[in-house]
Amino acid sequence: VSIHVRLRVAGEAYAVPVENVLEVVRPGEVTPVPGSVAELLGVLNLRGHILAVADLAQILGLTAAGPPARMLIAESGDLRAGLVIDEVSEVGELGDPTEATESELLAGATLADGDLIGIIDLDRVLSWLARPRP
Amino acid sequence: MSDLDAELADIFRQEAVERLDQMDAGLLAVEAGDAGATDLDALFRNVHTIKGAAGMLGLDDIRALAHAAEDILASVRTAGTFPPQLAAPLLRTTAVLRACVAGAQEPVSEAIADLTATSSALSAARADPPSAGASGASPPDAPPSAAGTSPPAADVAAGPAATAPKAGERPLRVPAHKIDRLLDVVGELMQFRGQAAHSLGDDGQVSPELADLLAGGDRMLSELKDTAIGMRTLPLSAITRRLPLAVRDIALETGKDVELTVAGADTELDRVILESLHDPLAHLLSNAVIHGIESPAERERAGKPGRGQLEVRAVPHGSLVEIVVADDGRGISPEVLEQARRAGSLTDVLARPGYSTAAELTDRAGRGVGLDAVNSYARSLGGSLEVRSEPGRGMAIHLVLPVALAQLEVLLFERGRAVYGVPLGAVEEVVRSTATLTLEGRPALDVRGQALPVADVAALLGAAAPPLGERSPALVVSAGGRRALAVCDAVLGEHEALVKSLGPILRGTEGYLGAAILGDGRIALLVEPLVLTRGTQHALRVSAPNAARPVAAPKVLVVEDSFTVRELQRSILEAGGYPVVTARDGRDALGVIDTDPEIALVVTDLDMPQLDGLELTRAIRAIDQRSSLPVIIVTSRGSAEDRQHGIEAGADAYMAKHDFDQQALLATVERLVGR
Repeated sequence: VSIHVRLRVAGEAYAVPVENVLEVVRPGEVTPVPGSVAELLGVLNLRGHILAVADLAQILGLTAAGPPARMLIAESGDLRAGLVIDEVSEVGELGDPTEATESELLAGATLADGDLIGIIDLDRVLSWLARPRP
Repeated sequence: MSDLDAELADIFRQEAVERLDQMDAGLLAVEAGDAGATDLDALFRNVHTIKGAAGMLGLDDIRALAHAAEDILASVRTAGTFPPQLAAPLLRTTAVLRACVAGAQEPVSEAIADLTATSSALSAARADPPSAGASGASPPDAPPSAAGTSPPAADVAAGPAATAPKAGERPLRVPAHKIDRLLDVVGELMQFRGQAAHSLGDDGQVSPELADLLAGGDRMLSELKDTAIGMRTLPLSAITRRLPLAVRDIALETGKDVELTVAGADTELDRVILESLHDPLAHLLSNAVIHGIESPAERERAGKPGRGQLEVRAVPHGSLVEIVVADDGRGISPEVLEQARRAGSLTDVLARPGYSTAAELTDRAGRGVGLDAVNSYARSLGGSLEVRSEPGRGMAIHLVLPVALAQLEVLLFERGRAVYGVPLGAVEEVVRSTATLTLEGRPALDVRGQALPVADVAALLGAAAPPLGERSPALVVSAGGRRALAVCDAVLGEHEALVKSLGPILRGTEGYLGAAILGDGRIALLVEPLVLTRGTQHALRVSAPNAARPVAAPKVLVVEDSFTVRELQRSILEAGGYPVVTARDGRDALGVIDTDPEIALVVTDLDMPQLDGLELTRAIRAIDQRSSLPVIIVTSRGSAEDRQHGIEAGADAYMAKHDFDQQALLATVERLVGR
């Protein structure tokens, strides 16, 4: 059992370990970076620093339901990115993953409050984003 | 080791390396036979200081070897002459000392034995025949002079010691990270000022008092920035001091006779760039000695002097520095020349990954880092590399690098609502894209008689953007030995960008130097110039060709100190069918008017260095034959009073930059020169 940020992406429930989340903000104006990987929406000016922004729905292979409403600023090692999501539902304790998942980007899944919640492996997600473009 | 000890050891290392550099330079002078008394004094002082400091820090090996070298130098000083053959063993000593200082666990006993052997050999040589010219008797235990048995020895009898620096010029040791932090803060401050300017809006909306205060603040900020950058820059000599020694060693090893000259060694460059430049530069020189310069016999057969010339030359160009490594060796082979003709660029052929100029690879060059590595090094800093060579006549490699890393002068432009920047040094001019030609099946445009390939910036970058409008501006970009036109929606102007990294997530994405945050908070991606010249497979969507330019249209002189405004006005006027010549200020303009009788109209800025717009207008009115030459003043000062000054000076029209549009300019020009 550890503290997680629970969020909704394309209508589905996911969670991220709280230590990987720096803050949750409204996505600002994103400048596209031509030639970058498809999931990257671009870069934005976060209080004078350049932050890469990606679409979490697209990373997870989902189709975004509506316009991006919130952005999770996530960090793992030296990698940092803004991940666009629908909303943050709550921050609280979550049991260890009980279900195995096929996706390499998930650490597993767990049942909570009648929802099956996918637990995101941020290290893998951010490393996947930083891959060289073919 | 305590923190203090670690800090002391660090200071010792830095100082010892500097002193060893000076010793190497002095010993090379001794070897060449042109060392003076002050050189010998400096050698002695340097080795003595290294010995003392090493002793205090308990670095016994360094102390012992420095002591042995000091003994020899002391006796030479007493003897009054410095035999040149002593230079080689002492150079070997400084090399061992350098390795020890860098932390190598190298045994020094061998080096000490080497020095002792040399000194006994010299004593023996002297004891044998009675030598002429040794001034007075030497102490019996000293290795004395070998005057009479050797090439010209340095006269160390006379000459005062080098004078100590004045108090205000005495160098102060400051840790580099403190200066880096200062530069960061200055950068943030400039960014902050840009945002303030943006929220204040145009100059017209603030009171004159506030405008004066802001202008004063800007001047100080700009001076602060230059001073801070100046603290982080070092002269090129900081890395070239060791090069003559390296070249000498390689030449000896390969049986070549080479003389290295360094020009522009006082040119200043960012410390970080200088540090990173040492290896590529050493590589280029080593390549030149091994592959470029021929053996003395081969050179004489080719009718060249036996000694090859190698030159490192630094020439500053604004925020960029051009560093040229040139040799007078064999140059490229005719086969390579032929390949270069087919590829369109010699640089492309030689800087291709894995290329080597030697048929058989040797240990030092060829393998290891090649020209492609030096090329990508230059590109990674926002610079470029170009190779020029002719068979039999040597080769010159031109490296263009920014003076400072954090700050880069860029030209901002817009395409598909996104803002991009490209280093100003890579942009030759801005033209209007009009009639397109076809060059080898690709779109091209005639720029001053040369057909250049032309492409849409969006296609070059792979960005989504609506089709280009008619007569969109095009940047003439020069990079990687190629020139090309990159067409965009609008040119926004020059900008001193604080370069920010795109961060590790985007490390796999190529083609960008980083990003800059603009005054309004928007992000401008900074594009590598090479991306704009490498061409694209995508077709360019520009509109139909224009009508041919009418013959004998009146020639217009554009006088403007800002590159952007000058090029914009040029392109507007040229698109309107007028031939244009340009000048950077009033004085420059008077020279052009004096030599070109075809100038029919002058468009001038007001605020310029040397001679401003009003003075220029008055000067034109005072020239007998040209006093009626029409003058249009275009300026950011738009008050009624300013207008009055302009008209009084004799201007025919006065246009404010903020309501400046191309139709108004063309209409005014047409009215004045009546086509």
